[in-house]
Amino acid sequence: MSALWILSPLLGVVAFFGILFGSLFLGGTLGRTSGTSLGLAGGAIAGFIAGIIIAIILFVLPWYRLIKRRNGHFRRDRMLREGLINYVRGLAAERGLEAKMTVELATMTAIHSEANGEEDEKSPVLWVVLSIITFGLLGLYVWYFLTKDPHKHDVKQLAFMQQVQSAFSKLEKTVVFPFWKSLPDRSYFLYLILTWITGLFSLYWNYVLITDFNDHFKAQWQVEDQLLANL
Amino acid sequence: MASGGSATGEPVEPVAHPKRAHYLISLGMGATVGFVAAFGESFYAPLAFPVLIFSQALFSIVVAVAVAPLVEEPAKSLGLLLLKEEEKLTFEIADWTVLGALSGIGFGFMENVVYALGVLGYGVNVSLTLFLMRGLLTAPLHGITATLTGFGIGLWQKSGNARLLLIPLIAAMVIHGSFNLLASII
Repeated sequence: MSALWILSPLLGVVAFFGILFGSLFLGGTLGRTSGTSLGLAGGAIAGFIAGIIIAIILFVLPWYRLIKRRNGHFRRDRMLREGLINYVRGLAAERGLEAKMTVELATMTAIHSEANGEEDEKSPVLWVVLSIITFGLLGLYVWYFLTKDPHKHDVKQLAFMQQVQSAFSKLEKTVVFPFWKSLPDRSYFLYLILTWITGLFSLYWNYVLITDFNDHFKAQWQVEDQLLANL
Repeated sequence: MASGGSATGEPVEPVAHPKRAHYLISLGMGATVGFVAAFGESFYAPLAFPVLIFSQALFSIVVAVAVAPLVEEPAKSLGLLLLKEEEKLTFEIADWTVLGALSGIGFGFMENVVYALGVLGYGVNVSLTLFLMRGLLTAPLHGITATLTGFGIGLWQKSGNARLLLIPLIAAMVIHGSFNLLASII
């Protein structure tokens, strides 16, 4: 997902006022020409409706995509973790190394269960609708979980992959993981207050919502490439 | 829960038809979500302030025609969305349509109660007359538009394509907006 999506809400504001004022002036001019007030009324109604719909779409579309991406990634990682646990367990049994692998398997299973419990699916449509009808008030919760979840997920995934690495080395498979820099634990309330005070801080906030998960994906791709080469 | 996952790990049985609780949830959510919609509308309305520069009379018409349908139509379907997205229930399209109709009727009923209570100071007769008049006009409107949205949710579930919800939802907004425009003009 491109970081340029941060411009989407800004474009929404510009589009709303541009369309509304454009329609009002156009409707007013048409009304004066025809000598009725219908032109202005039509311009006001059509302009407001078109402007607000486009603005809402531009505001909520990045959220919709971010929630959908979050759900998709969590689902994918759930399958990956399950697959790796089964693979390590199976190979250890085949080579008679179950006793040596108990710590790794127990830790991997514990992390997997914890992640399954915490990383629940959030419906993008439901949260977008809730945000629209409350004028963005419930969008504050969308911002909350989109800010907090990448860090929590990243920490768990890193711990899981370290156990996979240890298990693989006991199975005489050398996996060299690249440097995996943990995502920062961002302060939701600090970001909220800064956005409240400055307004424009929301641009940076939206930027990190996009790039944090992008960085996590890049780190994981490298790890998965290493894993694939050793399977 | 009705659709429920099974504790024994058996495959989840899809619910063929909604149960009484689901009808009640739709009706109740439709009735109560009006307060949330009113809250949202109060924030959207100031966005129409630029209209005041050109005409004061137009302001209330723009709010009635544009803001009310925009907020109320998605709000009415909230109960259905919770059943579908949070409870993961699967129904037939016809069932979603009936649930949608119920949420609209609940919404219309509660809206009329609030309006009737608002004019209670003018006498019980006035309040009851308004309640009955609105019951004949706006309650069916809310029922019809929410039925459309319910149909859209059914289409979305059947096809797995959330965009299919948009078409009936926009149709519902257009009907609601047109009704409000006519009411404002008359």
